[in-house]
Amino acid sequence: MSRPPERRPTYNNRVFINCPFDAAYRPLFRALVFTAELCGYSACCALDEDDSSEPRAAKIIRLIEGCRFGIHDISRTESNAEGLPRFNMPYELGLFDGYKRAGSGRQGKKRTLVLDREPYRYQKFLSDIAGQDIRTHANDPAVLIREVRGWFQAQARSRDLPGADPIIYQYDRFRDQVPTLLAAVNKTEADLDSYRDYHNLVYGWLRENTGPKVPAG
Amino acid sequence: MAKKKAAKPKMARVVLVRPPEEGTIPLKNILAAVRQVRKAERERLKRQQAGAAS
Repeated sequence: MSRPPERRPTYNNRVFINCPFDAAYRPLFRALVFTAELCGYSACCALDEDDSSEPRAAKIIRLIEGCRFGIHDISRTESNAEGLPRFNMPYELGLFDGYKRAGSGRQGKKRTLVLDREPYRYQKFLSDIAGQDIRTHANDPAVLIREVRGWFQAQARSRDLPGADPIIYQYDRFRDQVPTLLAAVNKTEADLDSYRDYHNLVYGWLRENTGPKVPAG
Repeated sequence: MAKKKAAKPKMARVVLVRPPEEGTIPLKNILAAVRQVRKAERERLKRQQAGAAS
């Protein structure tokens, strides 16, 4: 079977995913990574780094420096059980934006997408980001795929990316097959908490299922 | 004139980025598992089509 062409990860095709990593957000996170990979980008996030000796902020800064694109989900900034808000996502968005505005050379070419769950909600808690590319996903993975794919297409300009419907179709197929795939490699759903394994599973699945001779559905 | 069959929706050409590192599951095992599932899916479709034709 003929397979899709491949590239190596570079600054220009790496996308920094800044989002919550809890179980409630997982369906959106997984759809986001799948969409980025299918659109020809390499999804990077803080979970990808497993050097525990390095401070978290240093890891995040190294990741941000290495990614031209950034997708920041600020939909989960509300208070936790202790009444404290989650500041990590807005903090990392600020770092990314700072690199874009103050950085030299390629850092100035950074592109940012901000995701939230409702239109204009950000104006009540992060109004300084007005004027940036802000899209909403309504906590629905299919809506998120459409929005993220649309944004990637705008960045890719003349390169024709797969449409949202084929991506959603392929993502549903992939999701249906995950339990069987995990069983075949003697793993369970819990093992997919390792981001690198999920990332590689998405890549392996796409490599075998999106070649020119494979129908889109 | 024979009626043209409706075309299947086609997906634009996909270009993948190879992941930088191996995880705890070796990539070759992932690829083997994906191929195995694809093969089983193809065989199931063939059986379905044969059942519908008979």
